[in-house]
Amino acid sequence: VSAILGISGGHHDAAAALVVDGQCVVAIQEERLSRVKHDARLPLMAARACLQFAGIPAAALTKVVLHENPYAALEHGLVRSLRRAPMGMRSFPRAMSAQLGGKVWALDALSHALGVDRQRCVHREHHESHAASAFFASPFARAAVLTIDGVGEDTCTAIWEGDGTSLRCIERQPFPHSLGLLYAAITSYLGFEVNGGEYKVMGLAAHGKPMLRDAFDQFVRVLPEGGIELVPRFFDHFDSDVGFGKPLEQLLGQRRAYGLAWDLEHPATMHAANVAATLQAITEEVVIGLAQRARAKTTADVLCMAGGVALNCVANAKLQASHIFKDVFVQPASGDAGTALGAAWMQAISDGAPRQQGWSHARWGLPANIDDALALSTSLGLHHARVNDPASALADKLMRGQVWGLVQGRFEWGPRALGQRSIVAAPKDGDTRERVNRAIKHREVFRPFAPAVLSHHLPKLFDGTPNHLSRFMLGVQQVPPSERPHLAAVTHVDGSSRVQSVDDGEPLAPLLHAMQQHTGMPVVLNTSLNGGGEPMVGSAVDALGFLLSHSVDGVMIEDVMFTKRPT
Amino acid sequence: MRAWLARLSFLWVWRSRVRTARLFRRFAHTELASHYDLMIAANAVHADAAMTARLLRHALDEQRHALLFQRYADQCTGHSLGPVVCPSDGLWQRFRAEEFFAFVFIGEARGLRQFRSIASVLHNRTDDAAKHCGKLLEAVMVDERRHAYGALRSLRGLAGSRARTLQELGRMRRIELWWQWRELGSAPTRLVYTALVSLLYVLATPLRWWMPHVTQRWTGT
Repeated sequence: VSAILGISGGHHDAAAALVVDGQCVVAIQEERLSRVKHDARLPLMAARACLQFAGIPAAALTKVVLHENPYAALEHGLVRSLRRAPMGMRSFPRAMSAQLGGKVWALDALSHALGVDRQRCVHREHHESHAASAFFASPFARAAVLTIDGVGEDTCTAIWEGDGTSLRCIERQPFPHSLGLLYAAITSYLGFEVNGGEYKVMGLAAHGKPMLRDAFDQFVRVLPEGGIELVPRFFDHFDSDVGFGKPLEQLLGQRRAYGLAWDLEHPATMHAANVAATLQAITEEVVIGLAQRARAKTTADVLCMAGGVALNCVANAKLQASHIFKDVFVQPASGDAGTALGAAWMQAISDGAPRQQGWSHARWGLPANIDDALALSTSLGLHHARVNDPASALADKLMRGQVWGLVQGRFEWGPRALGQRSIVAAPKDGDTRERVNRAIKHREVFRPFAPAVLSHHLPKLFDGTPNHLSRFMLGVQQVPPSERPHLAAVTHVDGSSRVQSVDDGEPLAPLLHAMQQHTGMPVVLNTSLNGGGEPMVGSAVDALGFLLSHSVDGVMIEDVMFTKRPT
Repeated sequence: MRAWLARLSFLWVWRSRVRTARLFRRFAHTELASHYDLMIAANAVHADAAMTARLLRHALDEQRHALLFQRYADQCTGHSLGPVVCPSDGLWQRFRAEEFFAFVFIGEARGLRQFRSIASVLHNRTDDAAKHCGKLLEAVMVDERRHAYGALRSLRGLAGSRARTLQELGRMRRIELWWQWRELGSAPTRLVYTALVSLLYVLATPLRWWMPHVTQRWTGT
């Protein structure tokens, strides 16, 4: 038996994934256990939880694989700093402290903490891990693979060709020409947190117009042959909290302070929306250009994508619609968390393990223990009721305008709630969106919510068909004007919707069928089960904690409905 | 003596809104780190529902306090200072359950003393800002008292005897002192590190002239 534990950590969204004989058994993001959102530290809790879940002792691990080469990362960090001399002097001590104080010792730390022989702790490369996570999870035997990230070692974007169990890098675009770093810099400029606020920028973009292209052209050039070129003086990649320099502020205006209210009729807010819209337009253009380049450099007719940028649903949908490739697959945890899985798969396949069949779900986390939940509920003085038909009972509550948490089976791998740890509500009423945004999740009012819909009903309700993107909620589709009044809570301001298609037999399907019986539409509003600044709920304890501290009407765990008051 | 010192230092802090904001951000940081540790502990003891419930309630209180302190700090400066971000201290993983509760008790008791000192300074003031801050602290102190008592009760339950309880408390106080000593030493160490690494940078700077410029947009492999 080959048991390989993949580890990603040190940047953001640390994770661990266990691959046995080439098959993913369990994959967990550290934040789900540590409760620290985007936890970046070496994921020791997740690693131990993976081993415990699979019943494999650490001593039986064939290898522990880190997602990147820590020595190459140190070398590139040094070289980048020296290239900027003398300007790099200010950030140099901090950059070296991060590398020498932890990252470069990651393999030793893993060996020590897990009790695995140091010889069995190895590393892969960051973009290779991304590419493997996408290609080996896809249903394609042969595909072009695009990895679009901030930076890993010294690579920002790479084109790969996957064929069976082989994965070959064809081209790389080196630092600093990075779409991910551009997106991060503008995210920070708009007053959002880097490595966590990017999807807010995507949501904001729909409120603006891409009318700042002339200003953007001064610091970013979309290459006609595919790719991007950044003008370094506008950026400060060494201060990852900000990512941009003063010249960018002089060009676009003063940065937006964190936490300002989002009044979308205020000129300053509209300017922010226009910045976001321009960035989104450039992102889409670059992604299309890269796909064309990948198509030309490989002979594959389908594409896999990974890297933080691959979470941009709007760009993914435009790519799908462009028909450059027949089909597009994006791995559900295509951010840095996914590299833990990619590293493990790459190592397993290099060691001769077979390749996993294409993924049809993202339920790779830990289950919630209903017995724990029942006992804890009694201790907390909560009310609970076991129901015979959970889907109908929940649909009945949602039809009364209630908002519920839903916990079913093992939690999701990746940032999207796909029905295992979700907040669900009826999709019709626009006020529901207001309530969930303001009162439950405490997030920006402009942010949209996504619907989950039965796959075979998707073409009737949206302008599109179910595909690999919609399965993992990684693309958008338009809502026809005739359906918008019925789907007000899940339709964004531009008429788009980040649809999740659910096949019969999946855990969320019974609820959608029950909603259909009530409303004629098999649709629910589906958003992640967490509050502002919190990671998604993992365990039953977290779920009841969520019920206590947030204004949802109740939480359903498996077939038991938990409420604060008797119903 | 310690309370007197705390009062004196707070008088200095209170004179500046920025310093006050910084102090309350630090409180928020501590409360949030505590929230993380308690959530990990609550999940770890899931088989004991009563203990899980106590830890979960405590954790949620700490999260609420962190938010209150963060908002108060924002009010002090008149603008949002961003979210409070911190890792957990990994207390549950690092210590035995008895040590964990001893640590929590010591932390809660110290927090309570500190808040009480600050509240006593604010109590004599009549301005709105002082009244507002005083009310905030009083509300938090109600919870802190309960938390300190709860942690001590859990510790007593696990230790089994008064002598063992005192022994655990004594050990954790010594560990804390050691941490404080290391923290004290880290400031000069950081200074020496920064100076040495900066010197290394200056010495290595001429190397940049030998480094080829990156001109290629794409590199094949």
